[in-house]
Amino acid sequence: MSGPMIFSRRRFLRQAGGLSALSLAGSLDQLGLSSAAAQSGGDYKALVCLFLFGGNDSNSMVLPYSAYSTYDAVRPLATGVNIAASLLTPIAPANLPGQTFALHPAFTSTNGNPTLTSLFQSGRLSVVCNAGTLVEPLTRATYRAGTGKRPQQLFSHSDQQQQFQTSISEASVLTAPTGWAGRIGDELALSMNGPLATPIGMSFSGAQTFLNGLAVRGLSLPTAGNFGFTGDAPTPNALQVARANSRAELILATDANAMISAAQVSMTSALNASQRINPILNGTLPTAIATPFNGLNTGLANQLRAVARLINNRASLGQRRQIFFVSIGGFDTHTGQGQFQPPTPAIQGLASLYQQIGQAMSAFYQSTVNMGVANEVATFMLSDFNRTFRPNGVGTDHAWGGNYLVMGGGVQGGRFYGQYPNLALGGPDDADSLGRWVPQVSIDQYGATLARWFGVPNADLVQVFPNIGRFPNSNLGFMA
Amino acid sequence: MSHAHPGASNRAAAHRPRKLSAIALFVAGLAAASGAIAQGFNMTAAIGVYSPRSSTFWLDGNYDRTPDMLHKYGQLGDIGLLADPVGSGSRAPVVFRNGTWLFDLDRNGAPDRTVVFGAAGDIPLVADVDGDGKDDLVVWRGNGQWQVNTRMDGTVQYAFQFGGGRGDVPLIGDVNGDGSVDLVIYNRGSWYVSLNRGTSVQQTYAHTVAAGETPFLFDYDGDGRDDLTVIVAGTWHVKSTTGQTAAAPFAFGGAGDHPLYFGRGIAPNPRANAARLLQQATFGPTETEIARVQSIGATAWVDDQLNRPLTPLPPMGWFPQNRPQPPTGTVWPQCTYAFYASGAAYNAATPCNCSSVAGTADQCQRDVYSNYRLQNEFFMRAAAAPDQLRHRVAWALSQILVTSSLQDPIAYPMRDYQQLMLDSAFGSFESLLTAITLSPWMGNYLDMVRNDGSPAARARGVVPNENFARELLQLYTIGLWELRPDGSQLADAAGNPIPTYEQDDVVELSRALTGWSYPPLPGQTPAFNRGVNYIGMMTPIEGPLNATGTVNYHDTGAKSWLGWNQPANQRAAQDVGAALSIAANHPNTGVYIGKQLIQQLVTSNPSPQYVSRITAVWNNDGAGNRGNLRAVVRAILLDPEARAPRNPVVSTFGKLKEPALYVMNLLRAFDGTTDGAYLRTPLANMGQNIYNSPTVFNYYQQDYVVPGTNLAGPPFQIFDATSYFARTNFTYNLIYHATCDTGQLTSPSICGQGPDATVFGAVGTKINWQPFKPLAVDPVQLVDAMSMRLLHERLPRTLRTQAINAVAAVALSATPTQTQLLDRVRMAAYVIASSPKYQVEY
Repeated sequence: MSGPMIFSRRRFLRQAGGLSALSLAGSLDQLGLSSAAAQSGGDYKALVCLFLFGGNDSNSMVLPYSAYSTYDAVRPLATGVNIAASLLTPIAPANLPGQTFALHPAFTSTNGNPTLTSLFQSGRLSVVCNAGTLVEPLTRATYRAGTGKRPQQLFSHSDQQQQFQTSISEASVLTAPTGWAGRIGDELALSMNGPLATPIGMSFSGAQTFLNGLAVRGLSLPTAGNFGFTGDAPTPNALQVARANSRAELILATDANAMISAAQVSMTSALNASQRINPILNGTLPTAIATPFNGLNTGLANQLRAVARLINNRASLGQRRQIFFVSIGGFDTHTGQGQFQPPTPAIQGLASLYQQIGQAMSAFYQSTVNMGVANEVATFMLSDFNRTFRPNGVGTDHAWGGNYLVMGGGVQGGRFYGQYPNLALGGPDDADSLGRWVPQVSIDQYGATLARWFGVPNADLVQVFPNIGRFPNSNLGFMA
Repeated sequence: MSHAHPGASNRAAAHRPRKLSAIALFVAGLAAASGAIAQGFNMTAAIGVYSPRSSTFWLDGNYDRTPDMLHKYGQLGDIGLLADPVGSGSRAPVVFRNGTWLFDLDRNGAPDRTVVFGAAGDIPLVADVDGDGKDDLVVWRGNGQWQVNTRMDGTVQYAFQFGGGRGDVPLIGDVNGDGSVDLVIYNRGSWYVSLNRGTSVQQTYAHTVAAGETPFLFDYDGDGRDDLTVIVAGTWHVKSTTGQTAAAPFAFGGAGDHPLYFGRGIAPNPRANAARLLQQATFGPTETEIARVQSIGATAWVDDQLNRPLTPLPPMGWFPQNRPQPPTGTVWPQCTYAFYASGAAYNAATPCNCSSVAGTADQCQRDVYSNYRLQNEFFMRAAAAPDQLRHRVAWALSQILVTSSLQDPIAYPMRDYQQLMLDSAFGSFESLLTAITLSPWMGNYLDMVRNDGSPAARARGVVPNENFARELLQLYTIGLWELRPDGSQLADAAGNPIPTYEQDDVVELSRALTGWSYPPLPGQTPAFNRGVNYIGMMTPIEGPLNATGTVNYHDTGAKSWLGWNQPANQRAAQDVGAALSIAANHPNTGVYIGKQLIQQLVTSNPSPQYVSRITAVWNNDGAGNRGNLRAVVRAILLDPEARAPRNPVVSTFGKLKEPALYVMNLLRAFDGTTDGAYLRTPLANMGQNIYNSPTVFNYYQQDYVVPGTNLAGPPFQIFDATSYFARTNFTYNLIYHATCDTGQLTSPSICGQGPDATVFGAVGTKINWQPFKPLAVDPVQLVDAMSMRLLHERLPRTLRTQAINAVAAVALSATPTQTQLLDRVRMAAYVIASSPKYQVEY
């Protein structure tokens, strides 16, 4: 027989979710909403993480306009990934006088307007340049010489996704990693939302490490459909009550087997969440949300529409702080990346994905305006990595530092934060000769800027980002 | 010896306790005891000790008298006990600290409930005094006064007076086996029993060993009567109260430790042992197979499965990438089911229109240009294929060597790939690796096809695609980190894990794998830009060596990776062979893949020793072969860790059922039948869309850790709230939104989802409830039978009561109707099948 083994379980969830069997008649009121502050409008904030799975070629997402030749030198028409200059609308970052850039022209809203460009120009959207996973600051020289520590398993999808979500890029043994949003939750959920609120982190893209902390755990939700038990009813008959009670008793019973207990914890959490969230996800869609999202039916749009619903109902969920996770996949464009050429550019490959993002983000922003919370909601992009600036003939391969968009009323928009990479192959920003940029901004700094705005006190930032002290600053400045 | 019994009647006082002569004095613990082991006095008790100096519980759950689990809880001076105050069916740690009881019900090492009952100096005890299925708190106050708190609130519900003299040690247990606990006083070798907690002594026994002894009461042999135990310096001397029987003394714990007992009713369960093998080796236990395993034993059953003939997938013939449709104005006959099910390749000379015809069973578009038919096949085989183990292993391999129909929906290549998994399940891993490397289907999935290593491409600045090379290393062979044979990660001087490969290795390997393209269609010559064709193996496009005018798409330079050299000017096939040999023979491969097979089949957290044993078999099957999957699978299933009885005490063994296993276990448990069509959508809703893995990392990552623990639990990654409701609601719909066969109008018993008219040969998905209906008049019988069928054990007491109440809530008329009886069966099935226990294999 094996040697003795030790296991442990989360205490907080049992404390917070330790409600006895919930009868079907239990209403939201009976669940004991926390402080009145949750119901009042004051001091509310939400973070929306938009993850681009597969490694987004952000060289295509934000490209130089005034210095277009540096782009064209490496990605001319013949490479099959070129975005034509004639299709670009220039943006002028307020902090880079004399330089202009452009977002990918496919970032339009449903009526074809270049909404994200407009948001940049009206100060509601900014670019975080050349950000990525880092153990400590690196340059091309220190990376190539091996004198600086580099993240583990660079260029591996699963590892880089994990490192973006956890902010930890050094090797670790088999322990349950926590995400930095989960650690924000550990800091703020109890004080801001109270012990009985719905979990602070909610994902519409399945379980994500990002939202798991030591005490808090992310809640995975569907974008539509019944989030609860078939066969139950709002006013149950005796049979339904008996069935629900027996089912609940079985769910809530602890067990000596750790796998059963782990299942039981998940199921208890689902039970609690369903009571509150089912009516919200399936209720009538308010006009404030319905209008901007009208006609949109992509996966991402559906996720952001559901996020809007939950923002709209934050009071009934008892949440003054909310963290959402949505995603869109398909960015691993080793092949089929596509180009963008006049007269009628084909909306396929990367362009198709950007169009989906543009439409959904525009609709979402407008819905936050309609709901009066535009200044309180910050949407920010993450991805596995950027891609090689030098194409491979039909697409691009895995790379490293990339550009990310941040959107919201509270964003210091119209600026480029960090430093846009020098696009020379083998140049000062290139880890090798294929255009893999060594990030000059770490995910720690990117996330800490958001965490600080979200309400994590300065002194506690190191709890959320343990390695923040290794980097020159913990506030990039893109949030008001 | 005389004992004062204040309050006892004179008559009782007249019967002064003394060593009885009516029962032969038997001093166990003397050497003679070893010759006096009665037949059948075997330990069936789960015991433990609490070491007060280290505040550690040492627990043995499976009756082998070695600790399986240690749990640190409490502080110096505490008295450690085990208790189940809430009736969960399993006792959890509790410490008594100067009158305060601190419970650790969730076993996480921190107190989660506190009750103040008693005071410093009291002796704490645990027993279910009021018989409600929940343990009560008992304190013995030193003057013969016993107090009992049944409500876990520190108040006294019962008080007894028994004992109190100098040297008395109180114990509590059921000595006479009547189901009601008795009070016992031990004093220097004599045991004085007050049956049913009166004030007088009804029985006396003698059993002692030496001075410095700790007396203890527990049911050693599971006969319902607690046995007398004396522990001296860590050696337990057990004797039954019925006479001569005694056990050989055994060692457990040390001097100063407090003995612990997990309670009655934990007995070996051969049915559960058989069912566990079937959970590991098939898509779910059935009554027939459970009986068979119990009859012939695990080894014979496994060997029989290894030798069974393979049930091949039906052939699916080649069709062009673009669905054949007639040009405008022309009419072709429809491609019939008979045609495309025959496996014949599509022939443009005799074209047919492959579209789906509404309202008929001919659905060529769906059946040929999506993996619909193949998904149905998966379920049909999982339900009924005789070579269950092979299918189970093939499914496990397909979750390691992942491809996905999301890449290309056409069915025939995924059919061929899954057939390859079936063919290879008991074969050589390196052969399997070679086959998937040269598979055009895999080539399309991970860009190995048309990977251009020619000089012209290099001149253009094109570098070989790294996708397949990377995943070959990361997922299919050596993994990311250097491993010991026991599965643990090696560490460098700074304590960090050591990567197995670097980026440069990936680049060099991808060069070695260049030059392959799709095989030509009949009548075509090989060419690098051949169109998509998934039949057979990829073709190398390289021309004769050094020939001019022929483009060699294979990079002929020398490659060097992981310290191995592949010389220049090797043919593409030679380079592939050399590369795969390097990867397959790397010491990591056996442990990396072997451990995943354990996790797929048996348990998410195998012990390091288990992993080591399997790695050893991978490295050498006994005949000098490496990577012999047949030997590895056999070793995994017959390993003592897989075959050990269920540990009822505390355990990290087992795994969450992935959705496919949850669904198929349920169906097979009730002798269900299916054509698969109904099951594919619920499976997708649960996060496991069959053969449509979202990425090359499978539905869940093999290193996923359950949040808040340090336990691996890959299927938990898709066990979120949405998936959980999908499982439970699937169960509800299968049970309740069902039609029952009309042929049994008077006794509907075979119920489920009817056949889909657009599916050829459909039979729907059905369950047979008949065996349970006669039991439905008695909710107790029904619940016990249902939990035995699904969980292979009885429900714990309070849960059982709730389930019985739920069943009883279905009213029966004076003459119960068949529908009423069926509704009771449904209730029992639903609540048990949706419980956490049923989600897990343990």
